[in-house]
Amino acid sequence: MSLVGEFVAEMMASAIRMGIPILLAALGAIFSERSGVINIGLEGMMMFGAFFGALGSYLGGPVLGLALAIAGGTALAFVHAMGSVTFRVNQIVSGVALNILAYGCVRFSSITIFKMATTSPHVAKLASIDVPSLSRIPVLRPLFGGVSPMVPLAVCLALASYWLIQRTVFGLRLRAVGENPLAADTVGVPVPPLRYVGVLLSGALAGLAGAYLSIEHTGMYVEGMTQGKGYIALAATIFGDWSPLRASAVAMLFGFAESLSFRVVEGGTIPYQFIKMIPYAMTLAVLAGVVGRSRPPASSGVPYEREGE
Amino acid sequence: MGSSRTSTSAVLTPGEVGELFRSLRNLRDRGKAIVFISHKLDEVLDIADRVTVLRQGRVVGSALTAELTEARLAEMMVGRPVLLELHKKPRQPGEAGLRVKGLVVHGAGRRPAVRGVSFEVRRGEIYGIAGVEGNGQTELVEALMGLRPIAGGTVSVLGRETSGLSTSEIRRPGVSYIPEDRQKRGLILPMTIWENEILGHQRARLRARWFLDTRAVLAHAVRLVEQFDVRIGDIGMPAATLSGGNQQKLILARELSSDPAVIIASQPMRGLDIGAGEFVNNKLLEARDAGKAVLMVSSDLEEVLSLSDRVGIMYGGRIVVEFQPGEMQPAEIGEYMLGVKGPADWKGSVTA
Amino acid sequence: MILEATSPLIAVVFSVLVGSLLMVLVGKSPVQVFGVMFRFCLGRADSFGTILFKATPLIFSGLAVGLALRAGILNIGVEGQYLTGAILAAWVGFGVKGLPGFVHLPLAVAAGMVGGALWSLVPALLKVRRGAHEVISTIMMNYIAQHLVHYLIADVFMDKMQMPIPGLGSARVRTPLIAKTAMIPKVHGLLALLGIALPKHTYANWLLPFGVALAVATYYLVWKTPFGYEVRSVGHNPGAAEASGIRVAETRLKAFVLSGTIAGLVGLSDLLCYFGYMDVDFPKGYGFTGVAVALLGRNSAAGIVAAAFLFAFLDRGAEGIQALASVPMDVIVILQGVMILSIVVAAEVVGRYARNLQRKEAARG
Repeated sequence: MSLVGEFVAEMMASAIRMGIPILLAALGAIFSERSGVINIGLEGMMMFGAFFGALGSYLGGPVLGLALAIAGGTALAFVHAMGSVTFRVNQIVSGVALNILAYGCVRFSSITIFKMATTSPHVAKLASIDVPSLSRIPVLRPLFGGVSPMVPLAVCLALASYWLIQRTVFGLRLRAVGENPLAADTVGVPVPPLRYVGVLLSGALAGLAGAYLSIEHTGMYVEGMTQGKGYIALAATIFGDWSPLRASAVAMLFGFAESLSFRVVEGGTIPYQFIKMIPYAMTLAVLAGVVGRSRPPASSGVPYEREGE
Repeated sequence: MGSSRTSTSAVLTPGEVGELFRSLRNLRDRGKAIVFISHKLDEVLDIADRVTVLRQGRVVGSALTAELTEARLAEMMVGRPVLLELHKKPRQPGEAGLRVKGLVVHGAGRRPAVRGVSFEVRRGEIYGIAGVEGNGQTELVEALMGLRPIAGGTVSVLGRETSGLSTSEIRRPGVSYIPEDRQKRGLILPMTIWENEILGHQRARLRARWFLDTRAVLAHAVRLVEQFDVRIGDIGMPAATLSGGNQQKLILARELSSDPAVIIASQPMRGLDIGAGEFVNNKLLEARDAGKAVLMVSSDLEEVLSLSDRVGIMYGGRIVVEFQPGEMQPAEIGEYMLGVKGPADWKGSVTA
Repeated sequence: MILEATSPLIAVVFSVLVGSLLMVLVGKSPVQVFGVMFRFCLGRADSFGTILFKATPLIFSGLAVGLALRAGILNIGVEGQYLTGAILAAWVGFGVKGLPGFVHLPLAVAAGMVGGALWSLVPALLKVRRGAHEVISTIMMNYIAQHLVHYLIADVFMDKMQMPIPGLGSARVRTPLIAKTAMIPKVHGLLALLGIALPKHTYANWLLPFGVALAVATYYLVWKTPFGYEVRSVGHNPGAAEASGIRVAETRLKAFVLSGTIAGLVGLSDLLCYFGYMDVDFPKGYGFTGVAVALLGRNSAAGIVAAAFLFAFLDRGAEGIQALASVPMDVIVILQGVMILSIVVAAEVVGRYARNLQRKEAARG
């Protein structure tokens, strides 16, 4: 009995470990899209977060790592905001360009700083925490013992995002700008600044997601470690209907699919590649309206231009 | 304190306009300054004390309304004398061009927008549909053109049923369409003027095997532009570079030149200056005199009354009354437009 | 019009400036590095051959993205479409035996096109039937393709008969070798007629002239045929196209699948001339570069071909500066990223300026 329990707990813990970066990046995608800017560059921002997180941790410990990761993601997001808000270019194209740019920048920096294009040395993790009393129950040990502090942080961020978007004036304005910028502008809500804030927040969160991968999950930077998680986060956003709490739940589900794919390799009945397709296939099903229906913010992806400008 | 309103009266019924003007005069008498912006001559002369005319972004002149006539004001606006009264020949209606029976169309959110509309437009007549906007006119026209599914009833063109057909199948036997939103439905602004002149005809006459016959297309476009007096710089420029009036002329040229049997024109004069409006009026009358069936939908009652041979008033998704211009007093028309009065089987006011 | 053509130039200049800045950062002289790059790319016959080879997939990719873009569809899915095209072409290549080359090769190429078309059919149908945004659905399709192809190579087609490579313990995860009859001949013979001798170890092949011919064909399709006219109408203003009687959904579907068909050709130059098999490390990223190529070429046939050559030149140059000037080749990747960004920004700014001029001119006229 306790063996089964431990297995389940271990699976859940693994799903959480896999789901946290998706969750963080999905929160980022939500802020950006709710403000009306599609952020395909999420993947690149995660790459920045992963690399600069490792670099910061290498230079001055994990806390500096997190700070650098957030700064890196935000910096790249700033470029995206300039392109999509100020210059009103195609947001998808800007995102694609940023992903290429990020790939090049990270490799270039890695060679220049670590003298290796593809990996960094091992870096320090944050001190892990044991949840008092719960971690002492053997069955729950994998879930509550030796947890990365970024797990509770991510949970707090998900709740905070929900509160910020649904319950504050800022959130109301952010949503207004994403739904109907013309109407928002007419009643005096400044459209471009709010969109900047949305995009920058998404960069910060994606950076944090990347930092989780390099600092907490692997303990080093490895090229390609984001593995398309930025895109999975977009999928989680759609599947979660642009709501922080639902997208977080979906991120955990996708994390579970990923951790499952590792175990299936050992089992060998279903090819693990098919398990890996689950998040994408599920998102397609949502897009097709087979499983529920989700509706993007009405003006997401549409540059806002005042008449006569 | 000043306040300004743009074309406030465009969506109002005659009764409502009178009410509005009473309030405005009241405000004026209490010492308020009021800026009234409109393209309607009679209203301006009625309400304003002084008037300033703008043309192409410049002030053409100012005058006291007491010293102006409608004809003089129109001349200031257009830059040349304008005939305000249309010269209408007596109509000679022929066979039925467009026949609509019990038409039902759903609007947004699957709510019925058109609830059982029936009317007939004969060849050689202009049938006008007036009404306050949002009473199903848009949905009606789109359904007639195959742009919106028909939920019930039938439509036939020249005796052939067209309900359920696609837009191109409806257009092919000779239905032309002047859409209410010329920039969203009528023209492809980034494409050139000559390309816009063949929109919808690209597979028909101007084809040499697999390719467009560019030379024939260009010649055709140049001819149309001249015939319809479209003021253009270069025929290879995007349609976006044209003024609103010239964009409408471009659409008219395309839609009327294909010798249609039925013309469906939705808000054809909207946003046009008097000169361009007069041009559109004349072209529609010409088409009627040439034996075409013209359906004209507008929220501007005056336009409808001056141009149409018969008028239907639309309210709540139905045609509530049909009459010939001159048969009914404006006040009574207004009551129909607002749903105060209805047809014999009227069961109170329709609110849903 | 002339004004708008300058935006790619502005983008190239700006990105070269950013690249130079990075070179200065690592203590190199940009003049010297770019000098090395030009000498390396233009002064050697093998560089010439390599550039021809590298440009080939980019031409197809740029054309695929460009054609869909004309219909207002951003086909980010070229990436997945060329993978499915390549695996299908590989399957025909190694699975069908005993056919003469003039049948087998066209069959393999056609299989590639079918593979790409099929993979684009899903997002195309989702778009026209269910209104699903093509960018998101094609991204999902890309990942599904990647995992599917991985599965097919590793579990279904895996070549268990292959000769072990000396010094490498395990067998490679790859398909069986493609039959000689399905391999694409190189263009060395043709170029020799023109007096250009390409070294044997370069892989410029007949797909390149085919790609250029396809570029010309798409030009005629887009600008001279009723279908092309309809595609552009739908791309610019679906509402007006619909009101004029054009079948919008049908036109979008055709353009999308045609784009996927062209995308199916992207991987074939690598597959049927260079590798001769498909493995799990099959080149990735051509689809995304295709977006850049289409934009940089301002979506014109000639522009796309030119942009493909520019990117091939940069890729080859990157190898040169890494080997000969010890500058990380990733400088060039950054430069490419900056180029895409600056092309769209420049196009937007210049376009706005040009529109204002036009409006003024029209008002005067």
